[in-house]
Amino acid sequence: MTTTDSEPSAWYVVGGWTHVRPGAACRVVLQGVEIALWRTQAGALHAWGNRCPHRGVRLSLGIVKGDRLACRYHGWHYDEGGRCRFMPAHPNLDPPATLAVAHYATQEQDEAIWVALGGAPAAPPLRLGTDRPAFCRSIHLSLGAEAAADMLARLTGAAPVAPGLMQVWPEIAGSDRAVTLAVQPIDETTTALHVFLDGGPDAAARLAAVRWTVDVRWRIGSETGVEA
Amino acid sequence: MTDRLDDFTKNQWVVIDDEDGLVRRAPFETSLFSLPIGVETGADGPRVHRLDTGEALPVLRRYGYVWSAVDVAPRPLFDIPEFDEGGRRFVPCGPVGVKTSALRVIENFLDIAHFPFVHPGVLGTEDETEVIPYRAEIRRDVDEVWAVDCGFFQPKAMAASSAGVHVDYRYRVAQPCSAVLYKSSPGRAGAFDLIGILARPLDETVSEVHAWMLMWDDTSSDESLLQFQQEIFLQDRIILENQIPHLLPLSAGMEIPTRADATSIAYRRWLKDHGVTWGTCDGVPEVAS
Amino acid sequence: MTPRPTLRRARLRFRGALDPVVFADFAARRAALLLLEATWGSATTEAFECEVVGAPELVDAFQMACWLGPPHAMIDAVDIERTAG
Repeated sequence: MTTTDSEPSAWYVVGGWTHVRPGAACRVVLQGVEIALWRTQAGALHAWGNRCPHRGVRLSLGIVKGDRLACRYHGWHYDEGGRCRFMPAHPNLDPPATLAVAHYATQEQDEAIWVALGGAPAAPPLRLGTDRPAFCRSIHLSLGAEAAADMLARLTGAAPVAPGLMQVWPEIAGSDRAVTLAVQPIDETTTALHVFLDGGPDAAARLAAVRWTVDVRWRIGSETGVEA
Repeated sequence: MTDRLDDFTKNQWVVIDDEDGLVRRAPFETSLFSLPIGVETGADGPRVHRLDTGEALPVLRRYGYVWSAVDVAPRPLFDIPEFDEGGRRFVPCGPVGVKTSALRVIENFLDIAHFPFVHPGVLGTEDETEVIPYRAEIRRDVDEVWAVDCGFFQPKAMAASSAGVHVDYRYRVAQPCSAVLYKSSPGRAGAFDLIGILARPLDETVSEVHAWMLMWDDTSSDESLLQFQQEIFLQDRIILENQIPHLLPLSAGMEIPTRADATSIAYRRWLKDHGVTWGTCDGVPEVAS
Repeated sequence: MTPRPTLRRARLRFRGALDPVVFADFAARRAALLLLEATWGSATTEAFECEVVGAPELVDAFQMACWLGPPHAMIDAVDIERTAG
């Protein structure tokens, strides 16, 4: 049940690199599609359709065992390719290669986790800066992606620089650093913004960028009257 | 949505509350098949009525519970003869809400392959996960679903167990929203303890669940029995609320049932036979992933 | 927990009320999913016959899926003739 390599699809940021830790699994939603994002103990990242093919329980609740993900309901084990390798109720069975979870292309770059829903895009994801961009923070907004981008532009002066990416130069710790905002359309009425600070590692600058992000979220909340 | 309420579903007695609980909690408002209802105590006992039309609904008091129905003449409640035998203790476990179809709650109750993973160290262990073939059937003579010869090793089968033991399980479904488990009793050799589950659909994907126990156990306190059952159900709830779809599929297209899922398949096949639509779906995926 | 290579061969007849075309499609897709070798027999509105070969647990899983079947199929009985592979 792998995704077909049909039309090229777009990369979207679904979180910073810390969003899922080695040995953990979590749920993200992109354009209405639920994804189980998980890392093996060694840190390899995978993005799968969030539903165990056995009886439909979310794989984002699953337990990572080494380089396998086990469904929390009946413990079916899946390997890194999404193939079922073990059914605990039937321990003598070697499950056929046809029993597999749908999986999506995923990539880590610039401290971001990127996912593409269609076939794996030919090109890598866009850069989030020119000098070692660092992940700062993610915020969630009760707005569709377009409305979120419009509001960001109005409140912060951020301008689109590429599909799904906006950039702004707020004053961060007195330095001239670019802040890039990656827009994740969760569904029609919810959007996440993932904030990255360019210019190399600097704890003080990063903290200032995080504060800026929180302030932006508060300002959007005041505008819309909606708690994010 | 009440236009999805099929006759077989409508025609059954559904749990409102346990007798003592109702007296403590009444008067209260709740739902039954998406219909708002009011529950109160009167001089002649508990009363249930629809809040939208004012219509009084039938009330039945049996097995320590108060039942009602949206049909004026529901078919007779199933028999549990063990309630009339003396000696066993009855412990009602009180209501717990869960955001899924009542039928999914019953299906999960019938499942044994999940014990090592959802109730580790208590009902199962990862050292013993194999499910030996058992017998699941629809008994046409009584129109009930039964699963027998379900045997396996449990680390702590009941609140009273201190060591692991081999248990024998039998499951029985006599109406869509109720099920009974007959479990070999640690309190009396050769006898069965009963654990029941009664689910009230508030709407198609929200339910209120009442578990009960009827068993040969003199030693455990009510609190420890309740705590045991509560812990088990809260573990199941996490699974149930994360199982997609919440409506019970009446075909196998979206899933991969194995022999260990035989009771679930028998239950769904029986519901399909009776034209049940409430709480179910076709089981055909809308979007190919 | 070493997998046994023993295969099971089973002749199955699903009896009840079904649409032969829809059921045949459902059974074929399920057999493919479970990597079973299948030979298809007669298909009427009352019965569907086939012979499948594969790991015993997967033959059972095929039987489970077809007992419940596609949405409108009502299978009342499954006749099974099993032979060791």
